[in-house]
Order: sequence, then C-alpha cells, then structure tokens
Amino acid sequence: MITKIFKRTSALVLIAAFTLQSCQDSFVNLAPEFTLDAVNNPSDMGQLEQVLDGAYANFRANDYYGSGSGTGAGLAIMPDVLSDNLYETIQTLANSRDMSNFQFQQNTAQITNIYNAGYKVISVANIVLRDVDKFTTPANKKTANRIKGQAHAIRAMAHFDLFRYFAENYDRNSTTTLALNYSKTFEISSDAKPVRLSNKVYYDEMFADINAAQTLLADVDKNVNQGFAVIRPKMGLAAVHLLKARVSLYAGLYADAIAAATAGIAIAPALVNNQTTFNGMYTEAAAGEIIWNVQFDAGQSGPSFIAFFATNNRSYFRPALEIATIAGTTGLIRSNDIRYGAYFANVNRTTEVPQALALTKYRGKGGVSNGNANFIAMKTAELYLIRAEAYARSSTPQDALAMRDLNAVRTARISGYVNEDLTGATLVNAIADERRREFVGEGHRFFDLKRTSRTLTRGSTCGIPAQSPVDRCSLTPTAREWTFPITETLTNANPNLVQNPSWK
Amino acid sequence: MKKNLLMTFVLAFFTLTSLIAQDRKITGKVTSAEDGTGLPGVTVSIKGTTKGTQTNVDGSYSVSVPSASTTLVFSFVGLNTQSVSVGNQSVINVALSTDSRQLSEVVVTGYSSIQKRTFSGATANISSKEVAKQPFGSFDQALQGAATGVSVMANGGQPGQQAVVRIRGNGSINGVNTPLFILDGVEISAADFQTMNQGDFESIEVLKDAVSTGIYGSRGANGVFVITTKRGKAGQVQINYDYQLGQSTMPEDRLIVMTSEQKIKYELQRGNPYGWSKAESDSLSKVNFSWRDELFRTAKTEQHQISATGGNEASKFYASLAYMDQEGIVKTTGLKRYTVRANVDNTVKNFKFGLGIQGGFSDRTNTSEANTFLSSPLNAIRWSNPYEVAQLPDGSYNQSGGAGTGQLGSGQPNGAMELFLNYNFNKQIKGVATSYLEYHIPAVKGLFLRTNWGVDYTQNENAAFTDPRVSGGIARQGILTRAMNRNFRFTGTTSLNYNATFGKHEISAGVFGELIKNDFRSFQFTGYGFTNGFTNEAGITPGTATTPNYIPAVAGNGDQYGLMSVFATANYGYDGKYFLNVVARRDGSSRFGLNNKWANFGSVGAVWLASEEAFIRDIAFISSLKFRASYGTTGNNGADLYPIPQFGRTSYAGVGAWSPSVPGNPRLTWEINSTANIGVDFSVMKNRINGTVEVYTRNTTDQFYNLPVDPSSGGFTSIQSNFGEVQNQGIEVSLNADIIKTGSFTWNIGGNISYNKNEIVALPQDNVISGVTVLSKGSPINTLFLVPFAGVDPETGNALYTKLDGTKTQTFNVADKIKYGTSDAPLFGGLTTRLSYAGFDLSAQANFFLGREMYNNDLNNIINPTYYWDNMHISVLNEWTPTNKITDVPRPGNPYRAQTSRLIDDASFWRLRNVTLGYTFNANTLKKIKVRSARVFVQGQNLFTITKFRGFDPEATGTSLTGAQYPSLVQTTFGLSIGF
Repeated sequence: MITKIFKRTSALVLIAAFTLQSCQDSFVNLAPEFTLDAVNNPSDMGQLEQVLDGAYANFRANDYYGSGSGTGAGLAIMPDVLSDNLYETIQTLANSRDMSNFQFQQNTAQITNIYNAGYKVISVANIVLRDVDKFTTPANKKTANRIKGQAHAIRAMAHFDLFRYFAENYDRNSTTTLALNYSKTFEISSDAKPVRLSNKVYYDEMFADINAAQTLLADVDKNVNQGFAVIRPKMGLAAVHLLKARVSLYAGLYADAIAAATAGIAIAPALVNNQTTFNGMYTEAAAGEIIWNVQFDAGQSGPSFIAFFATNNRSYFRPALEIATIAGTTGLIRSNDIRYGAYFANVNRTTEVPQALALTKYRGKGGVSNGNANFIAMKTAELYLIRAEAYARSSTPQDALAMRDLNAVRTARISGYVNEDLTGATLVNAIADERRREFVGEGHRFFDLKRTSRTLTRGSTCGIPAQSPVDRCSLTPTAREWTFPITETLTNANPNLVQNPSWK
Repeated sequence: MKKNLLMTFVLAFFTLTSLIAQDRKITGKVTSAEDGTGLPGVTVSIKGTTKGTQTNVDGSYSVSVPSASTTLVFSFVGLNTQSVSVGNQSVINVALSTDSRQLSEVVVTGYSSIQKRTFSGATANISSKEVAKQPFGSFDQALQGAATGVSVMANGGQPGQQAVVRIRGNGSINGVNTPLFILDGVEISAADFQTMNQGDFESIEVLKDAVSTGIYGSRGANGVFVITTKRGKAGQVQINYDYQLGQSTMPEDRLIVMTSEQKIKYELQRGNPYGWSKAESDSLSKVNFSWRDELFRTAKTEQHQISATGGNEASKFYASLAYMDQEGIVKTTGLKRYTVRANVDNTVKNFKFGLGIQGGFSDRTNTSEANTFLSSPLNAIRWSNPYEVAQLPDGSYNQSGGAGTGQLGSGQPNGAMELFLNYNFNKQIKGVATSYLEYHIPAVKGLFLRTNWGVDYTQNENAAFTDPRVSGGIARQGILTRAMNRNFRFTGTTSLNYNATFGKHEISAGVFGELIKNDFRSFQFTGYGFTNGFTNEAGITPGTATTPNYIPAVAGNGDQYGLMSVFATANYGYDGKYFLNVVARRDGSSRFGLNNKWANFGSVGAVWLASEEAFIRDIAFISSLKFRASYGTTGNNGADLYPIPQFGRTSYAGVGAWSPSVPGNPRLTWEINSTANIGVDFSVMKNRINGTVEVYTRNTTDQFYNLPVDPSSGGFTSIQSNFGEVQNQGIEVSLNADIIKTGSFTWNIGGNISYNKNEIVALPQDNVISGVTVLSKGSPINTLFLVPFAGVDPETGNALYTKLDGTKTQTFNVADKIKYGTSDAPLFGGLTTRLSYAGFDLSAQANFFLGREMYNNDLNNIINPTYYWDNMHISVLNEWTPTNKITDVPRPGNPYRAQTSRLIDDASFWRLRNVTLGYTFNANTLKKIKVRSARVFVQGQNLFTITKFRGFDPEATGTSLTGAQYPSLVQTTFGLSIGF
C-alpha cells in the first residue's frame, strides 16, 4: 500500500517536475532566432570567413568610410574637410561645423564616433584571430592563411587610422607620445580599462600585424579577390605592401617605405591612363588600379553625404578653388587631367545658388546619383607617390628616382604631360601637390600636413561669409587641433585614457 | 454575480414573510436621475426592519409596509442611497443619482475585486465616461489630469498618436518606464491603442504602490492600468447609440518666423546672399505666403457607436460596434477606426464562463514628425521662405531651386510636394480575446477555481512612399517601403481562491500560476524605379546588375519573450476595522542570464478603518476615515530581449556576413522597485467633501544601466547591466467637494495635485553627459546640462558665457556647463468642476504641469545664423550689428553654439483640457416617442493654453523638442446619445 502511494506520488512529482521544466524551456529559456549566438559561434571555418566579412562590413560605418547627412566619412572625406582641399559652402546644414571650423571639443560626438568605428572593425578582426587556429587543419591551412592574413591586415589598418587622429605626432621611436590601446583580444567586460601605449610600442604592434599578414597572404589557397571583376573588396598581398609603405612613410622609415612600395608595385595593377577606366573605378564599372576598395552594396550610402548630398545635389563642402574650378584652367586639377572629370562636376545649376564644382566622385554607380559608391581605400598611384616621397625625403635623397615615379603618375593622369625634372624642396612640394590632386576626398590631406609641415592655410573662399561660413583659415604647427582630444564619453567609459597634453 | 444570487434568496425570503403580515402596499418606480430611465435591481428596504424588495426590469416595485414603519430606503451599488418618508402615500417614485464616491468602492485589480475600504493599496479610479467622451484616437490621451500620480503628455496631436504615460515618475534610467496596461486580465501592448475603442470601457483603475501592483509584480514596477470592459446587464435588451461630430484646429503658434518683408530686409542686412535686385526684393517683400496655412486645415471628426446589453441571470451579453473618423489638422493626415466587441457571461450551476472578443481595424495616415529632416512638411512651415509659394499660378509645384529638383531656391524641398505627393500610412488589425472559467467547489463554501486566458494580437501594415518628383525621390525614381509585422501575446492565469468569514474574522486568499509569452515577426521591402506612373507596388521596377539603383532591399526580424510566475495573495480582516493585505511571488523572465532569471517579490499592507472605532463614529463631522500603509517590491523586466552575446546578420560584397550586434551580459537580472506608501482617505460633512492624501517613496535599484565601456576592448560602447539607484518621492492630494446639492441643482468641484521628486541616488559613474543632458547623483534623470548664455558683448557682438567662477567670457568651453531643470514636471494635476441643473450640466477640466524646462531644438534651427538662406525666428532681426549694439542676439559671424542656456524654454503650462455642456431629456417626455434616454452635448478640447514655451505646444516629451512638431488639436464636438 505504502509502496503504491509512494509510486503514485513519485510519478506525480516526476510529471510535475517534467512539466515545470518543459514550461521553463518554452517560456523562460528562450534563444534568439534571428541572430547568431556568439557563445558557441563561429563554429567552423566557413562561418569564420563570414565573420571576417563582418569586419570588412564595419568599414562602411557612417564614421569610417560611410556617411550620414552632412556627417561621417571620418576617414574618407573628413581629413579633406579638416584641410584646405574642401571648403564648407553656404548650402551647408552645419552638421560638421565643429570639425570644419576647428571648434571641436571634448564633447564633439563625431570624434567619439570615429574612435568607436575604428575599434568596431578591430574587435571583429580579433574574433577571427581568436578562433582561426581552432578550425585550422593541415588540409585547410592555406584557407586559414588567407583568412588570418586579412584579419591581421584589417587590424593594422584600423589601428593606423585611429593613430593618425589621436597621436600628437608620428614619431616612430617616441616612448612618451601617447598612441592608443593596441587591441589584440576580444573582451566584453566592464572591467577592461586599457591604457594608451607609447608610439614605439604601438608601431611595433602595427608592424607585427603587417608582417604577419604579409607572410600569411603569400601562401594562400586563392587570391582574396578571386571572382570579382570590377571590384577588389578584400585586402590581399598588394594591399598589405601598400599599408606597410604608408605606415613606414608616416614613421619616417623611408627605406622600408621604398621596399614595401616596390614590392607592391610589382604585383599591383598598372596605373590607369584613360578616362573611361579611371571613371569606372569610382562608378564600379572597372577595377582599374584599385588595390582595395571598401564595397558598398546596393542601397548603402558611401562617403559622399558629408560633402555632396547626391540625392538632391546639395553641396555642403566643395573642392577649394585652389584644387579645381569650373573653367578647368586654374587650380591643381585642370580639365586636361582624367581626375577632373572623375572627381568633379558642375551640378545643380540654378540662378540663385552660385555655380561651383561639386565633389561628385562618390555620386553613385552606373551614372546614377544616389551616393551608393565604393570607397577606394588603396590604389596603385599611392604606391608610386609614397615611393617618390620616400626617395625624395631619404637622408640621401634620390631625386631622379623620385621624379621618375612622379612622372609615371602624371603621365598616366594628365594628357599631354611632358616629363619634368625637379629636385630638392621643389620636388618634395610637387609630390605633395600630386598627392593633393590624386587623393582629394580620399582621406589623406589633413594627415599629410600633420606629418610634414603642420601648417594649414585655407584658400580664397575662407572667411568670406557670402561663400563660406568657415572663418578659421589657418592652423599653426602648435595648434592643438592637429590632434583629436579624448572625449568626455570615452573618459567616462575608461578613465585610463589619458588626455593628450595639448588638450589638458 | 454572487451578490445577485444572494439578492434572489433575500427577495424570496421577504416575499414569504410579506405574505404572512397584514400590511399596506406601496408601489412606485425608481429611475435614474441622469436620464430618467427605470432602474432594475434597486433594493427597497423598510427602515428599522429586515424587510424589503427589489425593483423589476423597468424599475417598478411593490412592497408591503407594516403600519409602524415610516421610511423606505432605496439603494443600489454606485448610486446615492435615498430615504423617503412614507407618510400616507401609496405611490412613491424616486430618482437615484450616481455616487462617484461609491463607484470606486470596489478596487478592480484584474484578477479579483476587493472592497476598497479593506484595501491598503494606493489606487485611483478614472471615470470611464470622461475617457469615452473625449474624441482621441488613442485613449491614453484622455487620462491626463484624471488621477494623482499619473502624468500624461500628449506627445503630439497626430490622430492616433500615443501619449507618454508615467505613474509616479521615471524609475529606470535605461529600461522601460511605461506602465502596464491590463484589459480584462490580459496584458495589452502599450504601443497600439489606435485600434481600441474607449467607449467599451466600464472602469479604469490605476494601481500605484507595491501592494496594489503586487499581483503584477513581474511587470508592475511602473504602475498598472487595469481596464475592464462593459459586461452585460440582466434585463430587457437596451440599445444605445452615441454620435459625435466636430472639428479640430491648430493651437496658437508661439514660434514666430519672419514675414517676407522682414526676411528680405534681413537678407539684405546679411549681404544679400541671393543677389536680389531692388525690383526683386521689393516684389518679394509683398508675397507673404503662409506655409503653415498651406499645409494645415480645419479638420473634421466624426464617430458613431452602437451598443447593446441584455440577458438574464444565467446569461448576459454586451456588444458594440463603433466607427471613428478623425482628420488631422495637417492635410492628408487622419485616423479611421472600426471596432467591434462582444462580451458574454454565463452561469451554469457551479460554473461561470465568460468570453470577451474585440476586433478592430484602423487606417492611419501620417506625416513625419519629431525630426529635423529638410523634407518634413512640419519643418517646411518653419524653414521655407515666406516669399516662396507652394504652387505657381499655373497650378504646378514651385521648384524655384531648379526644374525637376523638387526644391525651393534655398535648397529646402517644397513642403507641399512632400506632403501631397508622398504618402505614409499604417493599417492595423488588432484582436483582443479574453475568456474565463470559474468553478465553485461544492464541498467547501467560498472555495473556487478560476482560469483566465487571453490573447492580444496586433498586425501592422505600413507603407511609406516617396514620389519620384520630390527632392528625396529623384535619385532612385521614387521609393516605396512596405512593412508588415505582427505581435502575438497570450496570458494565462489559473488560480485557486478561498473566501470565508468566521465571526469577526474575514479571510480571502488565492494561489496563482501565470504564463505569458510574446512572439513578434516582421518583414519589409523597399522598391524603387517608379517610372510607369503607379505609386503602389505596380510601379516598382526590380533592379538588375545593370540597374543596381533599383535593386529592392529586403529585411525581416523576430523575437520572443516569456514570463512564468507563481504567486499567492492573502487578505485578512478583523472586526471590520483592521485589515492586512499580503502578496508573495516568484517570477522567471526569459530576458535575464541563465542563473538570474528567477526572483522573489512581495508586498504587505495594512488598513485601519478609524471611522469604525466608536470614538470617531461619535464625531458627526467625520463620515469616514481610513489610514493605510504598504511596503513591497516589484520587478521590471523591461530590458533587452536576450542577455547572450549575439552576431547580427550583415553582408559584404554580395555575401552574407556576421557582425557582433549585442554584447550580452549573463549576469543581467531584474530591476527592483521598492515602494513604501502611506495614505489617508477621508470624507466629512456627510460625504460632501472627500479626499485622499498619499505619501510615497519609490526606490529603483539594480537599474538597467547601459554601462559605458571602452570599445577598444570589445567593439561595444556600452553593456546593459544592473547598476545604480533612482528614487521617486512624492505627495499626492485629491479633493472632491459637493458645494451645492439640492434636488435639481448640484455643483461639484474636484482637484488633484501630484508632486514627484526624481533623484538619482547612485550611479556607477557620476556626471555622465549625453547631448544636452547629464546623469548626475542628486539630480533628476534627464537634467539639462548646458553652458549659461550671458548675452552679447556690445563691443564685439560675440556671445558671452558665464564661467563656473561667475565671470563672463567670449570663449565657449564645455567645462562651463551647469545643471538646469528637466522636462519631467515635478508638479502636475487637474482641476474639475461640474454644475447641473434641471437636465443641464456643465463640466470643465483644467490641467497643469509646472516646473518643467525643455531644450528648444525647433528654435535652435531658426536662430542659427548659418541657416539664413531659409526663414528664421523673428528674434534674429534684433541681431548685433555695429549700429545695434545692445542686444541679446550675437553677430552672425560669431561661432554659433547650440549647447547653451539660450535654448532652454520654460515648458510649464496650464491647459483648459475639456469643457462640456450637456442636456439630458426628461425620461417621461421621451417615453412618448419610445425612447429610453437621450442626451446632447457640446465639448471643447484644449480650448486654451497658458505657457511661455516658444512653439505650438509645450506638451512635448523628452528633454528636447526636436522639431517638426505636430501640435495637439483644439477640438470642438457636438455629441448625441440615445438609448432605446
């Protein structure tokens, strides 16, 4: 009898327990169905490659290479906004005024956003580097190399971009200049309060990543951009060489820059010298000399909207008159230059708004003006210009070699160009001007000034209210605005982020 | 129901006794004082005896009275009891009036109702009649000023727009602060009231403290609204028809922009940017086109409702059909709504079974609001130059910015094109179904089982079309985004309850189990290429590799959450004077980390009914006096849905990709509210004056707080965590007085006032600035934090700012920011009055929100001198120039700083919320035309507002008035109610 009762009772208890458990599973222990659980994933090499693509996708963030309404494009067009390449127009909505007029302070959200966008890319690359060895077998070693190599390259790239804004100088061996945290682990914790490294340590880490990428990408199962005809959305070996050359140039390591640029030129596509192909690089009609472009898929906004509002032809920023004019007969880029037609156009002709060139290079693909354009982060011309500058600025300048590279670029771009033979400071200035021509709206100018003269003198429109609301027309070498401050938001999150001395 | 059964017994008993006695017979009819209709079920008792009867279906009665008896007492729940001296009358007719005090004597908490006198909770009853008569597309708008502790902000006047409702302040910094809405025991989404018909509501109860919200402990942290719908009444079928017709206009605009003459003059002063010739500027100065008048209108509102109720003791029903058509004051906008409801209640032996079904469809046409987009028509009324017109004399749209640009000369899109060529609608289907089954266990008196199940289903179909001709649509030849989503939630509650009375002891108790699950799904697509003239899906050109501009975008999403709860309630009363209420519960939520899903909550309250004590009963002045106190905890699970780290879908270069989307926090757990409440309810002078005073402290600990983290470690900028503490302390007073109460003339006034002090007690990190606000210990959430603007230096024309040391500077520095106020009014309330005389009634309600400050971003965009290509605020005319040195408007070249106190507005306001004048026809007159009741009324809504706020409407929410404000409507309606 007692056994019977016990049996029945225990059966009831069991049923109750079972019911409670199944209830808990359907009511309280729920798992997301539209997102991927990041505790147990990525779970294989295929998924890992999808995470790598996620790292690339984050380059499209509004404050990296993408843009919002009058804002964003932090590393695409912002360095031109902060320089003498573009000027703010009277059509502006002033959404980037704090930046363009050097009014930014520790509360400027755009600075925080640039910091966040850079580290977002890095964090995803860190997931790939954390997990890649788990899925590597002798059979897929070369695939693993391809994925791992790109992750190293991406990590170095984004760290370098942040460093350019937040470090007060680019001294390779300084142990006192504050760089940033070089992030190599993916850690979600409120306890993580990393400190800023010195330039020296930071450079060491960047070069370590670049060298690792170089080694790995030399031994891969297939070309990273295999299968793409008119775009090159992934960072391959040529991109790594270019990155190495770029970082070396900033660091003043001219021999390394020359070596890396030479290695890059050897495998990079040839310089483009015809208008159609050159235009095609910006409109996704031809790969041309693209080494790496950040791909904006259908419907996504490329860099344009900070400067040229492609969907309604409004120009918040226009090319400075010293860069180009409607007539095409004055300024650095003239109508005989294939860059003129690819970069600018006179749009929105109205009687009321004075006619002027708009920066239309990111207008859209296939002749459409919707702002859906790719960002060319690396192209062959940069390899030539880096090598030219490195030759010209070496401790024993090799002006002839520098001039050869400069002539190569000019010959490709300018119709009827006759080779010149410049030397010394004239040559160095000519290379700097060529970089302005080549990279207007591509995120170099502010840093080129910062790493060389640290003197900014804005052009003729500055300070004239009828043409531009901006009145901060020069930046002296000692100005604190050459460097971004650590913002309040960042200090809130991590008190260990020491403020730059110039902002204290 | 139980009461009715009891009555039947009582009636039978009395009927028997009356057969025996030798008494005289009195007959008569009991009618409603409001509409003259016969009242069934009224108890007619003979004073000094236990004898009596009840009125029948048409209100008639017949009772035998012993010769010694002198007085008959007529009583009914919710009506004023009347005593009539018999004298030598044989026919006694009485009219009973509604007793608002008695109506609220039962507190409906959703699962059960409890006698208010025995309940320790802080609750308030909102008159469902007042809510029903106000023609709002979203009924929460009508709750403003109706109860203490309940702050209701209109948040815009777009028909169907939801209000922002808070009970006793904001408790959570980053979590949900919305109260819970319960309809017939089932949770309904607070996000979609546009498809609910407030005409079906029987009662609305607000639960404010821990003991009253205790039974909703897992969701009740922000307070609860318990709505019960109308149930059937036994008797002959009664049919009611309600009609309203009215119009809406825009309120006074206090944000004044320049006229054509002023703007042209200003442009010339600023260097004539458009290069007008003398002839041009002279002719443009005379244009004076009003963009506001172009886009606004006087709008029409119309609503119909027909309802029926009837049945017998065993089976009763209520059914209604309603239609509402409310045009918005911005052209093209409006709400059309169709709702039906059917409620059925049955009693069979020991079983009770009921079902309530509501179905509705609403069609809402919107214009974009609360943004700073150039393309928003509501921004066009501020920004478009008054010398530009919407349409040219030939009827075509003005595109002075260039043919085919959709823009005016300044580059501002033509607001009329944006409003009239684009469309934006939401069609919503909503179904709410509730059912219950109750079984009274025959073996034990007072013991019963009840199970209550319900679903809330919402389906939205949205469309947003941008015409290929308008500024934003040109690039891709038009854009159509279509989105569908649905939300399904069920709530099931099963309980075992017991009520009993032993001598002086009263007990009621229940054990409950509850399951809630929510399931949401959505998908959408965006198509382009409207080249064939169609503006619906037929117009879409699907893109290909050669026309990537037209490649449609698709997306979809979905999520779920669940809750499991077990809880017990117990109420104990002794001697009709002392009462104790206890709730204890355990809840599990899917939103928290594996080991943190479950938590315990509880509350306890006590009541002392002082007026039942002999020494107080002797004080004639005091009619009733009750003291109560409660303390307890409730939980808030309004956090993100899944606490685990997640990757979100993305794509790159045509292939699928994953990017970390949620940092996750396995330690995330419940946010906890601890509320202590002390209340006094009193009525004096034979209930002529009654009132309630409440004092409370509400502490919210383990705050859902998005802890800022350095993205350099994991790419995320914050992690949702539990940190910090927020306190809300307050006092609430409500008073109601019948100033005059004679036979046909009554005058009643009432008022309620609430003071709530919000304060951050603890934070993981102090002084976290976000935009124009700061989170700081000792200050309220959403405290404005800006640099003090100190006028203009007369010599330079530069703005002056006050530094922290009190000196003035021309250099703007964020380190000089100081704290200002907040937009969450600490002091608010409502005043009501009602007069009635011989069928006429006049009532009015005025509401106030005091001590508010708001950042006026709408103003910011029209005083920024950069934007002088578009229209500007009139104050800019007084800008500093070498000849106008004494001013508070800086020179245009001075760097414009938005984060200063110059943009803070006093957003306090007084508003005449509602005035109603009505007439109720005499029932006897109506009888001749076979009508049971009839009433006509006119009412005015928001007729006037007193405020210093520079804008349409101070009734905006959030710390900043972003821009593109859709103001609250000023409405006048005529209404008619007929009963058959």
